[in-house]
Order: sequence, then structure tokens, then C-alpha cells
Amino acid sequence: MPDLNFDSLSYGLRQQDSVDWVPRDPDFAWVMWEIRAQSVQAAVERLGVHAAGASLVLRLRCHQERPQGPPLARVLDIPLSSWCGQRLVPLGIPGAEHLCSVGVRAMDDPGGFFVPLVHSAPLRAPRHSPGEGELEWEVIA
Amino acid sequence: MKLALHLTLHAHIPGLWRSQGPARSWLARTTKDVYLPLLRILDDLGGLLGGSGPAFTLALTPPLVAALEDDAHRDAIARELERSVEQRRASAQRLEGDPLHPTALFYLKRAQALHQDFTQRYRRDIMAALRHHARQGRISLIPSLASSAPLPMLATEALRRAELRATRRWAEQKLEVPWGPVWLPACAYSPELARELALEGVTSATLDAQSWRGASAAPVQGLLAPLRDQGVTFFARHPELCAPLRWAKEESSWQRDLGCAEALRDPDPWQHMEPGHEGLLCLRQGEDLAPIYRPARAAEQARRMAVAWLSEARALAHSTAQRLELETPSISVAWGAQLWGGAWFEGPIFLKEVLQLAAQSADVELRAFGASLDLWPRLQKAAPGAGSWHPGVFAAWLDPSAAWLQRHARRLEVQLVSAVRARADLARGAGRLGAPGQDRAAAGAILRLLQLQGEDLAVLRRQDGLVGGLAEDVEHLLRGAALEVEALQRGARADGASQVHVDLLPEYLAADILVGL
Repeated sequence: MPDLNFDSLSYGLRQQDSVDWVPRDPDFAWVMWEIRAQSVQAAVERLGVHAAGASLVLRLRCHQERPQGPPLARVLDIPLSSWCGQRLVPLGIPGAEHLCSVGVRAMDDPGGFFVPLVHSAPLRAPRHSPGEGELEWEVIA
Repeated sequence: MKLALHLTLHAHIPGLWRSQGPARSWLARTTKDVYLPLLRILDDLGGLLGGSGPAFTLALTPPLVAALEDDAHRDAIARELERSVEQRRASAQRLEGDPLHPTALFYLKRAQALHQDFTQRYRRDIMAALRHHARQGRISLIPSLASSAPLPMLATEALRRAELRATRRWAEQKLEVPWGPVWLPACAYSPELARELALEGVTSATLDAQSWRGASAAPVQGLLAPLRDQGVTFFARHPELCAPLRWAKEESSWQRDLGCAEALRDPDPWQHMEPGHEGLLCLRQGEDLAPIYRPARAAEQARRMAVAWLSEARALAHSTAQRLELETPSISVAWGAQLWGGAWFEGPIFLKEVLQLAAQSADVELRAFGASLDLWPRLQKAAPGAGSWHPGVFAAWLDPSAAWLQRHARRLEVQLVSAVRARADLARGAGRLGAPGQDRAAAGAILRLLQLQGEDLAVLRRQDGLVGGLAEDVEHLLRGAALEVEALQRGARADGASQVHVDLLPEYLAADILVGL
């Protein structure tokens, strides 16, 4: 995959952590993230005794209200091997709202000790098929 | 029951921002193959069109219009037409006594007619002729988004709305058409855009059928009626009826050895023809695999295809309308204008036949896209879903082979908006509205970023092997944008966009990108 070295153009002198994403289709999104070393270090310090073996992860959450029954909710952690990168990630439920965070997760408790560093804007996954919205009409003047 | 048929030709111009040589060559060939034949159709059908409003829609981009109105480009078009006449004259002389001679004469006469049309009939002014037909009510001219950037790929509302505002300014002041219907590049759309389109005064747009499949509620009238969201009317591009080019490829004289993409970007596609037959489209894939291109027979086949296409549209509308109890079924079809006569040689014959048959038909009504709300007393309210005409929603831009650019482009976009906002705050604090030099730099950076996101570039960069130098072009644009954003951040007076879409600078200088913040 081509990449460009922008060091000479002040690119990479990051002032803040960031995570951005765009839906590719109902099943995948393209995620781009940039995390500063000092942010990771601060997160590791917050983990305290749980810090040994902690790793950088991309945490995806999706949530969908349903007319009947409890809402659907899923969480998926994807290990990241780089503080700065981009990749396709699987989306949980087509049509559902998704959030993505990059943070540091303690190795010994995947469901608990997670220190988020940065959150994405919410993203609604495209649908494979029409939603269950009510039939509404607009009178055309 | 009457079928409302909305035909749209969208005429963008890939590659114009690149080096001037290939761009001029591309424009010259496209004018020869597409726009001159299109004007001939309008001239020939004349009063038959426009009885109940414009018969079809032509979506134009600012770079295309600027090029068609530029003297240097007009000179290049004239030279291409002269070269075409000379080349075909030489072929006709060389092939005297050869079975291909009648075909060579056909091409010679056609080249002479096109040259005469451009220099004498239209006085080298394609846009004036198109505007004339628009004033006569035969066609509707609408703007395509100024830079051809697909809106869903832009990171900020500010830049998306700046693009819409720049397009509006251009449409009203230079294209001289009322603002309302717009052409979204590649029909790329995501539901969040409805609000922004409505805020910027857009009244209608055409989307791909993908957006119907992912709508917020099931479209009960299928693809045969628009959807309304936030006061914007969305038409669905009918996938099956957009396929006559597929038929042409299989059954007619599609330039199959060149391929559409190759023909669009090669400065001289004729060089690929058989030695000795250069300048002649002489190989044809027909029912009997006739080796020699026979223009009259190919034209007749294109006319038969037009009859079949219209019959299919009628049958589809009638069967679906009965099932859905629709009184006024509507079918929207959108084709790339440059394919009609460019990639498919007999395309203009097909198009003319469709227009003529439809205009004379009692059960078909030709309608301009966006000007037909009177057809429906009510429309379903639903939010169309994400989609584009490329397979897989946004996969054309977000395939890993192409998506590497997004991290850079979207990050620069956020930095750009932030820098412009800071500059505006400073200017307000100093009691002045803005620094012209920095406005120009902001406009230049915006333009470069939008070029980076342009739809053709996105699709082409997946095929770097086919496009020599494209990777360098992308890197050049990206570095240029980064330098301009950096200059903005430093408060320097960079002279942005000196070479990129200079014609669009006034539109972007006037578009207040802070409006979306």
C-alpha cells in the first residue's frame, strides 16, 4: 500500500489523537487513526497494576434499538500494531449506529480495563435492505 | 397510464486538471464524438422536443464548460477536426479499390460534416448552442458538483457545503440556470447529506438504486417514484435500463479492443487500430461476425436497439405500476454523456431514436430531471440509504488499494477548516473581514483537496498500471494541498491553486466554508 512521507511538510507533528472512519458498505468501514506516544504512556500509567502486557486496541461498539425486545449491542476489540494507521474493520449490524474508540486495554481483563484515548464520531452502517420505518407520505404542493 | 421518462446525460471531464496536452486532446475528441453529434440530434429533432418541457437533462461540470468556452481549447478542437478530415482523406485514397473503401468514405464524409458543424454551424461555440436549445425548452442544463468530489468522502460539513455553495454560484452566474436540481458525482450519497443539501437549497438529485435498497423504510413504489427526505426529492437511477451500453458492447460496434477506460484517457486511441486501417472503426462484432464495419447496418441495429429499449422501459413500468397501483410511473436513466459516440460509436443514433420515439408516443412523456413534481400529488417520505453507482456502496473509494489516500486527504481537510476558522477569528478580532491573499490560499487548498477526492481519480488510482504517471499526479496534488494548508496555518500568503482549476477560484473564494461549522 503506498504511503507518503510528510515529515518535511509538518505532517505527523500531531497536536492531538484522532480516529476517523467512513463506511465502505453494510459490512465494513475504513478506519484511520493517529495516536501520540504521550497519550499511550498516560493510559498505561492509569492502568497501574494491570499495565503489564497492555495493548493498543480499536474498540467497536454497535447499538440498535428494536421495536420489540431489548436493543442489540455488540463490542469488538481489534488489536492495533501501530500508533498511526488505517484499515478495514468489520461492522457489527447493518443499519445500526456504531462508535469506535482507540485506547489501551489491559491484557488480563478484556471486558473491563480499557482506557479510551479518542472516540470517533458516530457512524450509521449502510443497510443491505430497507429499514423498518413507518410508511409516511408528503403532499406535494 | 403514462410513463414519465427522465433521461440524464452527465458530462464530467476526467483528467482536465492534468497536464494540458492530454486534457486538450481528450476534450477535442469528446467534442468531436459526443457534443457535436448531440447538438445535431437537438437540431434535427427541433420542434419535436420541448412540447411539455425539456426532453432530457444534461449535467455539466464547471471545468468542462470553462474548457468549451476557452479559445485555446477551441483551437485544439478545430485542429483535431482538421486532423481527422486529413487522416480520413488519406485513408480513403489509400483504400481505393479495397472492400473497406465505402467505409473509409463514410468516415471522411462524417469528419467533414463535423468540422463544418463546429466551425460554421456552431461558430466554435458549443455552449452557446447548448444554451440556445435550453432556451428553446428542449433540454435542461443542470450543474454537476463543481469539482466532481463525491460528498460522502469529504470529512467536514464545512467543505461539503462549500462545494455546494461554489457550485450554486457557478450555476447561477456562469451556467445561467436556476439553482435546485444537481448532479451528485457517481450518485455517491449518504443519508446525512439530505439535511445539508436542503440547507443549501438543493431541490432534487438522482441516486443509485443502492440507495433505495438501503432506505430507512421500504419504498412502496419501488424505483418508479421519487423519495422525499428533508424536502429534497430523490430520483432512483434504474439499473436495468442504464444497460444499453452493455448491449452495445455485446451486439454492436463497441470499440471493444480499446475498452472504455482506455479510450477515455489515451491521447490517441486510433493508434491501437489495425495497421493500414488507422482512423477507421472497421472491425465489428455483429451477428455474423462481419469483419468489415458497415455503417448503414450498424445504424439500423442501433435503431432496433432503441425500439427494444423503449419497449422494455414500457413493459417494466406497466407491469410494476399495475402491481403497485401507480398512476404515473417514472423511470430515471442516467448515462455518462461521453459514452454516447465516444465509447459507443452508434450511441447518438440510439439516443436520437429513443428521443424521437418517446416524443411521438402517446404513452410516454419525456421529462427533465427535477422538473416533474407536478406528476405526483404525494410522495413517500423516507431517507435513501448510502450508495453510489459503483458496486459495494463506497468500495470504489475505500478498497485498500485506493483508500490509503483518505487518511491524508481527510486529515488535511480538518486542518484546513480549522486554519480558516482561526484566520476568520483573527480577522474579526482585527476588525477586518479577511486577507485576500489568504482567501486565495484557502481556495487553492480547498480545490486541491477536492481534486484529490474527484471521482474519476478515485476510480483510476486503483488501476495505476493502466495510467502512467497517475501516482505522481496524486502525490503532487497531495503535497500541494499539504503545503497550502501549512501556509494557511502559518498565516503565510501562499499563492494557491495557480495551476489547478483556476476557473473555479472565484467560486471557492466566495463560498464561505465556515457556514457549516
